[in-house]
Amino acid sequence: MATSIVVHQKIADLLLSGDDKAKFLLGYLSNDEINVVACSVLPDLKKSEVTIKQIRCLLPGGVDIVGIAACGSNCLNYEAYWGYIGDSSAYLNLVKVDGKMNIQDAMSVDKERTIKDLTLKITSDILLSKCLLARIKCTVPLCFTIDTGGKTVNHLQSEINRLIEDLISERTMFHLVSTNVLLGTTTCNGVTETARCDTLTSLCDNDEYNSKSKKKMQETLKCVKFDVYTDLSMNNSNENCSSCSPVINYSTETTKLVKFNLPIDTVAIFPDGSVVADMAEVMCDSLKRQLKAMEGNIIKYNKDDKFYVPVPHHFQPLQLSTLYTVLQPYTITEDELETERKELHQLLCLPVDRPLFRSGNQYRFPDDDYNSGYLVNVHQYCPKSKVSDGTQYLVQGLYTYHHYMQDRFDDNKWGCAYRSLQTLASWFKLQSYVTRDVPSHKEIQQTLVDIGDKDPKFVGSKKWIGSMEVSFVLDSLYGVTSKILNVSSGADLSSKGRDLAAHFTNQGTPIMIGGGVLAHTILGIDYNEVTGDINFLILDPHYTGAEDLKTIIDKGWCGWKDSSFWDKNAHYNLCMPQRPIVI
Amino acid sequence: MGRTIIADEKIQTYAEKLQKEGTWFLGLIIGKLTNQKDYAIHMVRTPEPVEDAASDDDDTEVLEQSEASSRKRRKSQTKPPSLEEMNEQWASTHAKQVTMMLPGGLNVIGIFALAPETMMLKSQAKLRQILFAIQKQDKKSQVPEMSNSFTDRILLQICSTTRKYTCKTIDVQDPKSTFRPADWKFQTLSERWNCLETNISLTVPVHIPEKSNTSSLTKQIQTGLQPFCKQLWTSLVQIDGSLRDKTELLDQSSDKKVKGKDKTQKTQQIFMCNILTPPSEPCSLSAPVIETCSTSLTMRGTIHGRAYVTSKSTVEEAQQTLQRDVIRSVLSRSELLCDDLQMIEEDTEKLEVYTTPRRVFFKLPGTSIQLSDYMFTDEKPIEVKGRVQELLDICIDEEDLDLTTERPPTEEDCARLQDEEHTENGVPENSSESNKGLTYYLIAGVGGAFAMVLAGISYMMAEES
Repeated sequence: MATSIVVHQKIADLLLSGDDKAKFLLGYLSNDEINVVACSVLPDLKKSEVTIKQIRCLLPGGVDIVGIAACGSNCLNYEAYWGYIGDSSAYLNLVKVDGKMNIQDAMSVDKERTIKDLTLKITSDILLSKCLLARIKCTVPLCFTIDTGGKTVNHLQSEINRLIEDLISERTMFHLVSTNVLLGTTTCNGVTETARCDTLTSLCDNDEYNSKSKKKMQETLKCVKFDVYTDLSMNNSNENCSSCSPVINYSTETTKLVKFNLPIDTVAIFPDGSVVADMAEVMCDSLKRQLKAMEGNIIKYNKDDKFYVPVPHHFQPLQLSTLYTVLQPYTITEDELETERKELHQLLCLPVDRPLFRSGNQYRFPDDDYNSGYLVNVHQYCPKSKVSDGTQYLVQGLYTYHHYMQDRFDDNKWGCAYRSLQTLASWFKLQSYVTRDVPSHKEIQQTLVDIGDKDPKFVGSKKWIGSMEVSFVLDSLYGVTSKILNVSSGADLSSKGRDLAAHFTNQGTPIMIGGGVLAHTILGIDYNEVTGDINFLILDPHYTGAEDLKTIIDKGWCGWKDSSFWDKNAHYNLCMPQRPIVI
Repeated sequence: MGRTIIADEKIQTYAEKLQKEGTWFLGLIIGKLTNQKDYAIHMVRTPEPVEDAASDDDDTEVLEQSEASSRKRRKSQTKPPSLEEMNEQWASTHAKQVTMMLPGGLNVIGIFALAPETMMLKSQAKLRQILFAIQKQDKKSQVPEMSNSFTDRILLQICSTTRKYTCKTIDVQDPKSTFRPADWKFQTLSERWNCLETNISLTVPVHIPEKSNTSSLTKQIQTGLQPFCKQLWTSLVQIDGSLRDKTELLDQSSDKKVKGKDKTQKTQQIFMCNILTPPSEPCSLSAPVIETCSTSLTMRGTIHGRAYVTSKSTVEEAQQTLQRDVIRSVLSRSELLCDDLQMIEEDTEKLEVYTTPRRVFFKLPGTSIQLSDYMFTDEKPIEVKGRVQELLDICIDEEDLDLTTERPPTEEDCARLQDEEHTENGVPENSSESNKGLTYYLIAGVGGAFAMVLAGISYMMAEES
């Protein structure tokens, strides 16, 4: 029985800053704590069954609807919903005081409708790092009859139900990749049943993974991969198989069939401390959710004889402590799915002004190889700034570090602004605003010629560019407009704390700054509004070495700089890209 | 260095028995090739062609149906006067039939010829041809190759006049290869054969696309079974309840015994295995395919798989050996049944239930190894006994047959499976509709006719004798 509720800061913010409407709380139970890691809209009662199904299809195994948050109401008003939720649900009572929302108290409601108080904790810990993430992948063949009489959907549904029955039985075994561990709902092999689930990571640690960097390991998530197998030697209680030697059913009817290979790729979350013996059931549940979701997806996009394979993608919008798995019909383009994405943002109470579910936003599993050759978000390894009691305003999301001599291209002494522009461009690419790759020097130059800013001789030259050119190129190639901030002298920059803080809060994009002969990228500031003390987080494109994180951090190519970093007498222009409002 | 083949002494006794018959013989060598030494555990002459009373086919018809009726006897064929006139198809068909009777781990590893010196000399090209024909036939079976498969095959020549043994090997994978000398040694086989066993229940749906109607039904079904075979081939094998590292020795006890120099305690170990299949072989993302199917079938039931490996076998080798046995068994059963279906295809109705033959086991005399045969529901043990005599030249008593490993389907089984097929098709249909056009083929007609032609043997002969 839960005695406390842990709400992640981000969810608390979402709950308190949004509309006053009641919300579903999404999360999991860990020991006696209800962990709230996400929220969704609370549907109308008459639509609730459909919506709840829809929400569950998105959630990883282990995560479910755990309660309701509502403003100025009584938890018993939501009586009708409790039936859809688990045995014990949480209720967060929100109140509005002087126009500002607050969480007043939390309580739990059990089957007998007994109400108990819950201890409320708000945390900004990364809850996901206190969990084991299991990724389950397999290919499942699906074959059903296309019925001209309009019964195709029934055929599909009964075939999916058969697959679920088949795939989710005591014969189903989850094989921990590259180990001898097999987990079933009734048996565990290669590991003791009472072992904690996080011990699995040590079993499948391969050398390659370890040698990369111990430090890196600690920061990444605990993630394990499973394959799915069916134990043919086990008696099937479903009794689909007979115990006699094989019999063949033979039918010569002519039928039209459609054959799929469903690319099952689903995740389940296990809070630290859960035991291995309980894992298979949760993983079965996530398989079932995904198969049901695929059924719905196939029906949704089917037109006559045209079918689409639903492809799962995992997302972690706003770095919430959960993943969402979204199905996308294979070969339908992202542009065509904008309405679906918008619905998803709304369903999950996510901001509708930025892309969160485009394919470029996909969650990067620690063992997947996404290596583009460029370092990502190097600033997270920097030592702290020296501002006391400052607030950090940082770039939001991911960018890659671009600097001199990369791409086997010698731009030493002239290409710094180009490189800074590349870092800006990488942010838009990695946040999925655009699909176009980061432009090369030549492409940048050609763009400036094409828009009439430079004459044709400019292409292939070693001429510098400045903040204005950077904004032109962003606009022309990416459709991104930028604000240009003029600062008359380097000394003046320290007075721009408020502007910069606003930029990083509202836009969150990296800033290119040019002054004198140098260009840099500003990734954030640490600012004390009272004292006016300010440090700048600088990414320096003048670095000519290899992609070696240690050198970059130790030598300060990326790091916190105080105002003396700027040339007191130089005039500076800042190119501050503005995020387009898209989904 | 050439291969060394360790042959069981009883093979020598068998060879001597054949020598006394005063005629030439061709036959198969059964055993196992390994990277250390090869083991020959049984030898069998290719059966004499006999009149096949059950078949009314004339020669041309038989040739047309070559694939399906390869097991059928040609009416007019008799044993040629000399080895060099031997039909290699005849020998390869025999090899195919024998292979169906072998458990995993044992194979037709070569041939022997017993003939006078001059006849032998004239037959060299023919013998080479036969070895290649056997290989070609074996490849058609679509059973995947072991990762450490050996492509050398043995030719043992026994001179009927001098009683001299000459042994050679040839790489049958390479059409240009030539014979290499090999060492043939008789000794009492002391090798311990460890046994792996499994029972698996399977449900295999097969849809046969309309467009492939040109190839024979057998081929279509064998092709349709390929995805399942690939699943089996990529399966995990649990040995005595656990997954084991592929590279370790299957039999961990053998190490200790060698150290203790205790070679007397070589008892056979039996490992019970579970076979775990993935839902499908791994494949890349692709758009759905729409197909019109003229025939669909589902194979359902429980089969027994068995394989034998030497004490030096690794876990991986043991697993693959068992996987191959199961794959071969599934394919063999469907093939045996298909030959039936083809005979009655004309008057088939919409839905039918057929029973595949069940696997029955018997001991290879003087060893701890069991061989098997497939027996239809309507067959009697004496028919199996006849086939064993004919194809393996082994005389067994009917009581020695182990008929209990697999249970033959009863009428209830068939009825139940038929019902499941229907509910599974989703949309509940009313019962009068679903029973329409349903026929059970459990009884003598089909199986009986089949038994007559199976393996080209004549059980009548056995009865006569």
